[in-house]
Formats: sequence, structure tokens, C-alpha cells
Amino acid sequence: MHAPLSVILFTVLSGAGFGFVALFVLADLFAIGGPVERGELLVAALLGLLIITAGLLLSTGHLTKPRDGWRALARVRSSWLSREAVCAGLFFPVAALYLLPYLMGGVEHTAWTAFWALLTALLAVATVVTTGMIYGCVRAVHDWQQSLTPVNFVLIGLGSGAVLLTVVRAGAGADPAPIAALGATLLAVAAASKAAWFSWRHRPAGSTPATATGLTQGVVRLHDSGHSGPTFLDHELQSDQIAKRHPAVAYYRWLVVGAGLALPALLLAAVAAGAGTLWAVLALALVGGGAVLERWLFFAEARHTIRLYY
Amino acid sequence: MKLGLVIDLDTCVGCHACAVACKQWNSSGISGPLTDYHPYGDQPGGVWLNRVRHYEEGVYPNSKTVNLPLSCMHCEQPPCVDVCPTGASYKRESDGVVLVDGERCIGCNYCAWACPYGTRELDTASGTMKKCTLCIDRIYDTRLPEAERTPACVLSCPTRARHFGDLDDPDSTVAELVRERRGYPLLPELGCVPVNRYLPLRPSAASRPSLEHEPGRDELSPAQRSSGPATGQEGAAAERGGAPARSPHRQQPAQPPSQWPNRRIYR
Repeated sequence: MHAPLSVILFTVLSGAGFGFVALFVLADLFAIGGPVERGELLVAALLGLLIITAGLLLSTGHLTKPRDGWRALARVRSSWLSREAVCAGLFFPVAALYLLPYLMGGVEHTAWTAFWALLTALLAVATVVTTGMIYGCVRAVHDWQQSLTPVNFVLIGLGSGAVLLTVVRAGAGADPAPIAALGATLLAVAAASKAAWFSWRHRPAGSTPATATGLTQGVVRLHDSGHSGPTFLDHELQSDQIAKRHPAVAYYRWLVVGAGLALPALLLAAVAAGAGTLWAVLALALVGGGAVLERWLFFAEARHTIRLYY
Repeated sequence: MKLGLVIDLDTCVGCHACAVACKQWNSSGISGPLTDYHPYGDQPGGVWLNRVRHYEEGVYPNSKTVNLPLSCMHCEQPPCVDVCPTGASYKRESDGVVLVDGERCIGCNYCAWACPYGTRELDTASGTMKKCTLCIDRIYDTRLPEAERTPACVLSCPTRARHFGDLDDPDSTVAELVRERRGYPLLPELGCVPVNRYLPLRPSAASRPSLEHEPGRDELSPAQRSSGPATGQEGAAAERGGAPARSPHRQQPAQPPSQWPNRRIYR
């Protein structure tokens, strides 16, 4: 499939941003690693909103009519893309209601503020789930149609958010160890789940040249796709050829699982055990690069059934 | 109503006349223009709503070339309609035609990703998705002579390999063709329930079982024997519509439809 940079960055940034906000809300609510001060809350809120907004703005980058993006709210009942737009749209007012009492001058948590806090975290995770389901529900792409697809989106989003939160908490002078331990666990699970996802890509697909053409009397081979020039379908759906042109693509998968997910998990575990914050910053750089590479592979390697007709 | 196409892979010669006629009609129809990119350049490209693929079945010398025209299947469970976030893609309740509302389309390409047949193409000039409309601007146009109220691809096919009609109506030409020739959908395992059907190749003369020397032909049960002659004339008799059903799975029509000149029935 075609892998536009805007979509890669959008899914990585919004995943990390929503993951960060969800975990920050929990850290604030349950004072994980010490209570959250007003200054840290302002920084975290700004950071989270900035990442999420940048991601969502990028998501309109591949539209031919970005100004009509609001129309995407119309089909919540059937389209995961629409559900994502609605979840992301609801997130902002709910997050504002959660933040408002703090900005008015700092309050103790009551049942009411806890309600908005939990709703913010819930919407953040729900948005990432819907992002994963946008791809997970496409029956034409066998590689994506796994239950692990949305799971990976959530795990990688929460994992990279946890790394960022570890840095923020350490920067604010709180104890980063509990969040680092949580992040290490999330990233380790994400590494295992992503490895399983890669291996499940190779399960046999139901669609073959025989089912695509109905020709069952012998081996079916495509002679000619019937056009001599470049087509939209070539560009948009046949771009798994891009991945094939990279000889090292098999190693990229190991790079994603090893350097992008497992190694940051180890670094965060070290931070949890008492190592310096610098390791968390290094983990942030690794997980950022790993997530971008993971998302690029996700699109570039996906095989659409159209290849049976081309 | 369930309008759709029935395409005979046995008679299709792969001439691309349907694709060109489609391009010509729809360039000025409701989904027009179908933009051409660099039409006079080195690599001309553009939007087409119907494309013909060419396959080889079997291994040379025991192989056959099969031409497979592909356009929108007007699925009963269209994934393109389900995934569309704006409601621009829709399936008409009245006749089952899947259409795109260009006013609402935001060009997100999601429907093109969701369609397993690759029959939707983005027109980058208009920024909207284009697809087969089954020529709804022809088939309902009462100003046209009745014989021309059919999709441009069907009208232009020189071998009459393409048929158009209501597949919901068991008495329609297309439904009868599907029944007679065992028309099948493409990629049935994906659950899109395509309406368009493809008629399989007839067996070649060499591989067709000879009626005279078919083993087991002489061991008919008395009931079968009493119901008709078990001779080599049976095939011809069946074609005239007067013979008994040769297979319990197949119902012969009472009156042989004569509007298809190349209609033959094989076992």
C-alpha cells in the first residue's frame, strides 16, 4: 500500500500523544510516583495537546479536500474512520473539562473531577483503538486483518506515551520509577505482540489467483494487466513493491521489534531500577524512530488483493 | 431490483472495446470528466472505470488465454460504502447501484483501499473518487431508443460477452444466463457478495465428454430410460427444449430463449 508520510506521522504522533495523555491522567489521579504539581500539569497538557493536534492536522494531509475534513464525522454507525474522527473530536472538550478546575487554581480530586479524568483517558485510548481498526477492518488486506492490529496500535501508543511521561515526570522532580516500570512492561508486551503480528502475516490467505478469477482448471498466471501507463491503483495499492525494492526489509522487522520496542523497554527497566533520566531520553529517541519504521513497514509491506489482478 | 453485469469469459476476446466505450461515455456523463494525466507525454495515464486483464490458465501447450474485464461489482455488502466516513459512497436502495456523491467525497482514498477488486480510482483533478455507475445516465434516459438504454460497455461489446439486467428477477436474461452457465462471483470468500457474475469457459472440444462413448451411459435405470431416448441425439434434443432433464441438478427452460445466438448447453 502507498505509505504517505502524513499518515505515518499522524498515526505515530496521535498514538503517542493519546497514550501520553491517558497515562498522565492515571498518574495524576492515583499520584503514581508522587502528586502532580500545577506546573507539571500545564507542561504535560500543552505537550499532549500539541502532539495530538499536530497528528490530527497531519491526518488531513492526504485528503484531496482537507477543508471538508469535518464531513468525516457523518458515518459513525459503519465507518471506523468516522468513529476515530468523533472520538478525537470529543476528546478535546472532555480534556478541557478535566483541565479546567486546575487552571482555575488547583483542586483536590473529587468524584466529579475523577469522572472527567477517567473519561479523558478512556477517549484517548478509544481513539487509538479506532485508528487501529481503520486498518484492521480492511478485508482486502490480509496482512492487516488480524486482531493484533488494533492491539499493536494501542500498545505502541501507550508504550511511547509512557516513555515521554517518564521523561516529563523526572523533569518535574517526581519519582519516574513507577511510570518507567509500567512503560517497560507495555513496551515488552508490544515487542512480543508485534513479533507475533509479523509472523501471522505469513498465515495462508484465502484469496488466490483462482478465487480472484474463478479459473480452476490449471495454474492461473497474469499475462498482462491491460494498461501501459501508470495508474492510480499502481500508485495507491501496489506500493508493497516499495518494500520489495529494499533488500534489507527483513532486517527492518527485527529492528522494529529489537531496537524500537525491546531495547527501550530494557532502558526503561533500568530507569525503574534507579538509572539516570538520560536513559529515558535515549529510550524516547529509540521508540520514536522504531514507531515510525514500524508504521512505514505496516503500510509498505501490506499486500492488497489487487495484486491478484495486476 | 439488483442491477448488474454478467460477463461471459468464454466469448470475451479481450479487445478493450468495453473499456474504451466506458471511458468515452463517462467522460461526459455524470462522473465526468475522467481526467487524463499527460495524455501526450511519455507515460500517459488517467482514470478508467473498467479495465481488462489478461490471464493464462494452465501451462503451455495445455493453456488458454482468458480475458477478465473488471469494473465495479455493485456488491450487496459493499465494503467501500461501509468504510466511507462522509457517506459520499452509497448503494441505491431502488436498484442496488453503488455510486459516489462527488459533493461529499473528501478524497481520503479509504474506499479504494477497502475495495478488493480495485475498481475505484481517484481523479486527482476533481479530487473525488470515480467508479462505474452502470451508466445510470443511459439506462434511465427515456430519450434514448429502448435498445440503447443499457451501459456503454454492454452496447459496445462486439462479441456480446457482456450482459446487463436485473439479477433479482429470476426471469431476466442475466439471471437465466447465470443459472444456465453457472455464473460465479469473483473473490467470494471476502464476503462482499458481488452482484456482477462471470460465466465460466465452456469445456474445449477435446475435453468435452463424448455423448456416444460416455462410460455408464448405457446403464440407465428403467425410469430414466422410459423418460427419453439415451442416444447421441439427446444433446441436440435438449437444446430444442423437448428432451428430459439430463441432470437432476439442471432445469431446462420450457421455451428455449433464442435471443443469444451463441447459446449452447453443455453438460
